[in-house]
Amino acid sequence: MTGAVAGAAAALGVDGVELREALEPASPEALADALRGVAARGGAVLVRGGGTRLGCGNPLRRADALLSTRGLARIVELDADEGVACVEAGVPLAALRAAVEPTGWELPLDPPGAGSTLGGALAAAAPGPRHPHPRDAVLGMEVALAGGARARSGGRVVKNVTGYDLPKLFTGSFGALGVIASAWIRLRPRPERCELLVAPLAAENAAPGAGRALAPGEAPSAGRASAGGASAALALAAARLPTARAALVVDAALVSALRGHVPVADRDASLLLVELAGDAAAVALDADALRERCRAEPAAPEALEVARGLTGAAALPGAPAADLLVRVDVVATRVAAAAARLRAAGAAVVAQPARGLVHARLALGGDGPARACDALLAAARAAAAEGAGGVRIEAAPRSVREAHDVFGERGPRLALLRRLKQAFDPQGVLNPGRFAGRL
Amino acid sequence: MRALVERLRAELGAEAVLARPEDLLAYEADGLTLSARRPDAVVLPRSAEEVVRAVRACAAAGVPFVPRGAGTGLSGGAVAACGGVVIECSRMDRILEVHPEDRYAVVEPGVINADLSRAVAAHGLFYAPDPSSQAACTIGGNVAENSGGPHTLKYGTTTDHVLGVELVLPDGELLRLGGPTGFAPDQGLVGAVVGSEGTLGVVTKVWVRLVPMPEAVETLLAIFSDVVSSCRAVGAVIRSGLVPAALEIVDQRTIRAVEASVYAAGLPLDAGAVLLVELDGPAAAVAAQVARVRALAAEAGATRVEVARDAAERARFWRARKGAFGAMGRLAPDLYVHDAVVPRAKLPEILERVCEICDRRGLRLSNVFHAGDGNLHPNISFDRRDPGELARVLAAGEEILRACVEAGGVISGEHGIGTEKRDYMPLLFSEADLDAMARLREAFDPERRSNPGKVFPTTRFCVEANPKARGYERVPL
Repeated sequence: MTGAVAGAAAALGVDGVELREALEPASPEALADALRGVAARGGAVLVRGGGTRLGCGNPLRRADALLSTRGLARIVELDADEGVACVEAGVPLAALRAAVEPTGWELPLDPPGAGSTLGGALAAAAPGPRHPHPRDAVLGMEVALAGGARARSGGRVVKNVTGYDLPKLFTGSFGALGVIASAWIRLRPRPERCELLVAPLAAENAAPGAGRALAPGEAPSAGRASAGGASAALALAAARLPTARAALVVDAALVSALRGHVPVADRDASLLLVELAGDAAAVALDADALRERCRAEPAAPEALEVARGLTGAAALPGAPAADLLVRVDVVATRVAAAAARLRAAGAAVVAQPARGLVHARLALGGDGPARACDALLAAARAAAAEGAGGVRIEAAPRSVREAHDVFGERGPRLALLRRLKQAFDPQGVLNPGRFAGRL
Repeated sequence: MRALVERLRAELGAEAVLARPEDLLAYEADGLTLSARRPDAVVLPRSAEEVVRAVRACAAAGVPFVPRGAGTGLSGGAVAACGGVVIECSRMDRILEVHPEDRYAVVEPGVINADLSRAVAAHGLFYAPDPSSQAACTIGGNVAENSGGPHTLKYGTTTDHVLGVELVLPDGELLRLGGPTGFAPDQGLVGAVVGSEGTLGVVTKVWVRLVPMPEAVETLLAIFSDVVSSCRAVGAVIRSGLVPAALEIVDQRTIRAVEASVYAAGLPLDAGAVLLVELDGPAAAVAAQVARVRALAAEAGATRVEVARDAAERARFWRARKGAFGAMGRLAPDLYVHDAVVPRAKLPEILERVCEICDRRGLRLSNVFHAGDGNLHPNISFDRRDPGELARVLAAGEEILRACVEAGGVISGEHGIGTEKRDYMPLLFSEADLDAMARLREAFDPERRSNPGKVFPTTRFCVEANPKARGYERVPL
């Protein structure tokens, strides 16, 4: 155990659980051994990669050891001809990106949260503006199971139907079923040309008193939750341009975070950020279309970094601190309505029109966090119900996460999830409490 | 068994239950005709509710069941390897909802793949996974096998287009996983169900992603004097950053078979290999890509490169590829379509090995492959009535699989494991690996009655059949 890890363990009171020991295995084999040891004495672990999502997930119920994956730091193989890489779970995404850079390929993972490791990004399946589904990047995986077994599935090739697609199961399961040790990642070709453009969007559905918390018992009115007008249609059309790789609508309340990276805009307008990527000729055509239809202008690449950061929990300069970050997923035609509902509940919103993702940020404070939080969650659930989607609490104080399952209510699926947990981790060694259903 | 059949007749109506031997004959095999076993009964449900009743009846009797779509699968996935009841979903063939603005549809499992694309074409959308059998195969079957097709290089496989499923678990519980948005917390379970070959339950509804039709499509045909240079061209195209919609290679043996058949496409008989490249996307992009591919093919040694001038010519180019299996039917009564994958760069060397393996055994081989993703289909023409030849075909198949695994590949790219390759799983996976998969199965199907005898290695018997079943024969397949 290194001093740094011991220090981290001491400093880490995750969800009020004291971690008495820190483990930092240096290989997938050592990882399996470490788990075997913990299981043998009836213990439990909190698994930590870059530590960017310790506040996500349901509260940790118990653990006596911190299991760090930082020692699994090898890029085992980088095949620049095939465009695949085998990478251990503790490799930070930034390092992986840097290693891939000279090959002409790109890493198709861009979740928010600097310091994220590959294993953490996959375990949380956090969407990024360019790559909404981390599972799409995974071809194969090695996972350490709770009792110390090492299980491989998938492979290094892009076409593969050999047994169950366990990588899909483990991705997004928050370490409840196994600890990702390494993964085969499919790289993507670097686009010939990339352009980031920004356009102001006329304020519509300007909810009176947006930013004001709702009074007790007050529900967002139907009028505020209308389906959205010209701006919404424009944003969706822009997001669906053939070369559009990322598209975000950033609320006026958050635009100050983009200062310096975008041309100065009308203070009451929200901003549409669109990244075009692909063949040079096609990108040029789409850029012309954006310039013509939306008065779009070039934005600095940092603008996309900032916008990505606004979909994550970390504090950003210029952005109001968000104690509560809620993600609502809805079908594309309901994005504007969802955004309006969330705004009416006092949140500042970042919407991704084509993806159907809406992130709502709210600072809790003033006359008690509970009321504002309840109002936002009620709005989120209503929006999700109308949009055939769901709600995920991405970041919240522990009290909120104790009162609400951050993954939403699982209903009939909970029994199946319990059976899966029982099958893979019957003793409850892995991250107890953090996954859906508090499993 | 008789009591179960009576109950099924009572629950679903007599016309939905087949139990006479002459009626069951059609269900004893799927596309892998070598592997045949007559089921004890077949039911033809018309709704999820009827599937639930059928599955519950099987559960009460302790009898296995086998989900089946159109029966076009090539790995024995729809065969009742351990007996039991085939649950054939072709009557559940409705497209329930189409949401063009939200780009998804909800379909019953018996909807035919090509029919789905046809149904949404008016909205400028299509359903991307297009296996060669798409005129007959069903979405439910595609989900079970994570089906691919020539366009997976750009568009992905079935799992990339399934947003959610409704599933009847082996105990009869009806459960929905995922949904229209693709971000559900149980999305991982959806991913686990796709490609699970009917071993986790019966899919009764699928939420599918629809993709906008590309603005332009161009198809090129490049002739090479040998397979190695055609593979070199493929490598160059991919390393240049292009993502063609399709990259297909057929070898000389295939070309000759095709040209001698009704599918003749006007290909030179002395061509070593033909590379079919399809490019799609925004018109401006495609035009530039055509020029680049032409240049790359020429650099790699193409003796001729043609660009299809119209739809008719595009169809002619594709006949060279799609007519291959039909053309092989002229050579011998039976055709074994192998399916394996190697890293793309290993294609030339593996092809040489495959030819050697088959030549050594005096087998008639032709090769067709999805060159862009290293997915090869060595096809062996034979006559099953010649038992010596059949044995050589199977031995060659095993040797081919071993060679592919040695080269860093896998034993199936599209057809699935089924019964055909279950005993080769240990070539890829250790006991611990298979045990992890078994745990997934445990959570869905603890009694192992959902399509037993598939995917996992067995010894001599269908050891997965529920030992509590009464009057139940354990017969090796």
